[in-house]
Amino acid sequence: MSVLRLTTATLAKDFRLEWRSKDALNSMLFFALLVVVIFSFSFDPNAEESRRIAGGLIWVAFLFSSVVALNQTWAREVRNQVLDAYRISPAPSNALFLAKVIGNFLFVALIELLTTPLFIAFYKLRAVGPAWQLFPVAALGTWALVVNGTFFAAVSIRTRSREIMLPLLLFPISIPAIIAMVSATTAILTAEYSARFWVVLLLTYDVIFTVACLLLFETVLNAE
Amino acid sequence: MKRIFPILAVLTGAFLSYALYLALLVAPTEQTMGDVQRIFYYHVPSAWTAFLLFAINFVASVVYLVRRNPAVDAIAVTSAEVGVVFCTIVLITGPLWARPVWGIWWTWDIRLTSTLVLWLMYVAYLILRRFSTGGQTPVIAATVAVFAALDVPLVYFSIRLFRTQHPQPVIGGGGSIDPRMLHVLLMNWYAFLCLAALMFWSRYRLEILQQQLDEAEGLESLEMRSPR
Amino acid sequence: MNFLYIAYAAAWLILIGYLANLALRYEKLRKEINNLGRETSLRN
Repeated sequence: MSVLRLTTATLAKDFRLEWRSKDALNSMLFFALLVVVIFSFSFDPNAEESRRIAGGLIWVAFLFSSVVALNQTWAREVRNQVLDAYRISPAPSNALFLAKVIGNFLFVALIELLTTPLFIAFYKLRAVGPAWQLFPVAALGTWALVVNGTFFAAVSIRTRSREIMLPLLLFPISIPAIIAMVSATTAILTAEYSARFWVVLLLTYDVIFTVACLLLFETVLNAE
Repeated sequence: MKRIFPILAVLTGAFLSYALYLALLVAPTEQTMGDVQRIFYYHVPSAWTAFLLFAINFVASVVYLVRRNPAVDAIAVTSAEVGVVFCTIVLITGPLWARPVWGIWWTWDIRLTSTLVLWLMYVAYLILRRFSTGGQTPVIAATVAVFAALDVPLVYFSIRLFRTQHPQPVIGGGGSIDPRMLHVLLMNWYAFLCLAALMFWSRYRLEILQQQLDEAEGLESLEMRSPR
Repeated sequence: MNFLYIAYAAAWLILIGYLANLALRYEKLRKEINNLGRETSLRN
């Protein structure tokens, strides 16, 4: 079975399972909403300053929401001993990984799409720079969090305190990406400087770590 | 092997004392910062030592992934642990230097901030090693170590441009250095390297012993269960 | 207070602390090895 077919098959299966229960999606959305509300109380959305810090706030909100989503990436597979099947089968494990990453990406992207309008409303945001650029920035940033997050979620499977191990590993490694996505977002919202360097850095980060994850996932899968 | 260790320890102690004497009394006093600048002679060598150890960890992790040699894994965990120790010293001496000189405890100085991120990554690595269950910890840890090492240039570049709108005090100073100060700096670095080597050797032996113990315990439990 | 001396003291505290920690771990390991030796010889 080719990598592409296996990836899409796994993705479709995950999507079907998620859609049937919708529990995870709803609770995640609510969590993201709560984070935005708490931020609005903690960081005064006074119009001038908020544009400068909004980039940071929104990404922190997305970061915490994605960790909640990422933590249950492999839960179903572990529960039903699916990973053993993948280890034995000749199917390329990269397909499984890619399917999980894309699934997580779509999931988190959906949450971002739904919570951003709320953020804009609470913080009275208006992009001074070219607003369309926020989409590629969001896509690259989300991919950065999700690709490493899915990998570290797999790494954390056989550890005590699995749920805390994921952010412990993910946050330090993601710092350059977080710096880049926050700076790019702030650049676009305030138009005080160019986002170009940050977008290039984010792209570089994504390429490096996607390749690293794809190369090393098999090793991690066999080691669990 | 074990007998030369105390001799080396004494020699290293002497070397460190000499280097300390150089740092506190022989090195010329810096013009603008005064005596506090002498923290530099501990701050910088610690940083260089930590970076060297983290580099060793990267190489050991890659080699381990290819060859799966337990001794190589022992090198990996040892270098990470001793590296974190020296990295901690950098992060403590940095603010202690910054406070009297610039009035603030922390500056988003490129070097200090990169060191902080490095520290975070390798502490996470050590926590992973401690929390990981099952016999495949070395493999998992090695992959994480590779990720951490890949991150290093990205960390450097991202922080370099970050927050540069406000000129930051550069800890460690830029520009050329007085040759007398350079000599004291290098002496302290060599002394630190000797100390790091001894600590490395100790920790490495400890790890090897632990590996042998685990293996023996494993064998024993197998023997106890086999019918007589 | 003199930050220079605090910094040097802190560096040494950390180093000595780590060495002490290593020594402790050696002791624990030694005890475990002895226990193992004793158990094996008791069984045989």
